[in-house]
Amino acid sequence: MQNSDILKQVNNIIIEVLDNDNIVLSEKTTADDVEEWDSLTNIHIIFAIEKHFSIKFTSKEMQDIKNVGELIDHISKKYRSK
Amino acid sequence: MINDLEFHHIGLIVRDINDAIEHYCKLFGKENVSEVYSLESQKIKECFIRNGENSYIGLVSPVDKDSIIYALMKKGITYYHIAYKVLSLKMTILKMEELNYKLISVFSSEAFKNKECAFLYTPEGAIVELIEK
Repeated sequence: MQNSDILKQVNNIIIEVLDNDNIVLSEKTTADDVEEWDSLTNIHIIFAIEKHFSIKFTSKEMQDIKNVGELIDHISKKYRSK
Repeated sequence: MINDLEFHHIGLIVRDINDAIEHYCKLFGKENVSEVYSLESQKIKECFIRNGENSYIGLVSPVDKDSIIYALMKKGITYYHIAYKVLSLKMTILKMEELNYKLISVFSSEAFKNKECAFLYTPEGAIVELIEK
């Protein structure tokens, strides 16, 4: 799966979790750029991504991810190693 | 199965801890209200209302707008975590992470004689606190 495909799917997940159809993510997007994306909603986004891609993040990985690009890299690596 | 989880308290966010204490004194009696602790690392004040054998309500109020408790309060969240006492914090965290709990933070709590505590998200996104015995 290409990173651009993962980005589209992550975008759709975040739209659904945050209930905001206007969200358009890029690899440079951070949680601070999206009004509703805070530490409380972040965990629901992570669990939704885990379920969608059938992968798991460690607590440390969650804390270390700085932007959408890094999130996609993690998803890509985990998805490929399944 | 994690068999050493011993229920301790449920955490309840209140705007003004003194107002809440006044209310809970009327429900459970002054003798069942602990002192008020300042938890610097969490930027909160906390006090415990005893309402049974080893069973407490933890009243929590933010002292700073940077506190996550302030953000929860602004969202209208009141009851927000369940706390358990455990024999080994490290071992319980490892077991919970195997069950896909996500560690939020580890800290020493002034409310428990500076014992190590931790917050984790459950796989449903709820919050649990662990307190080492």
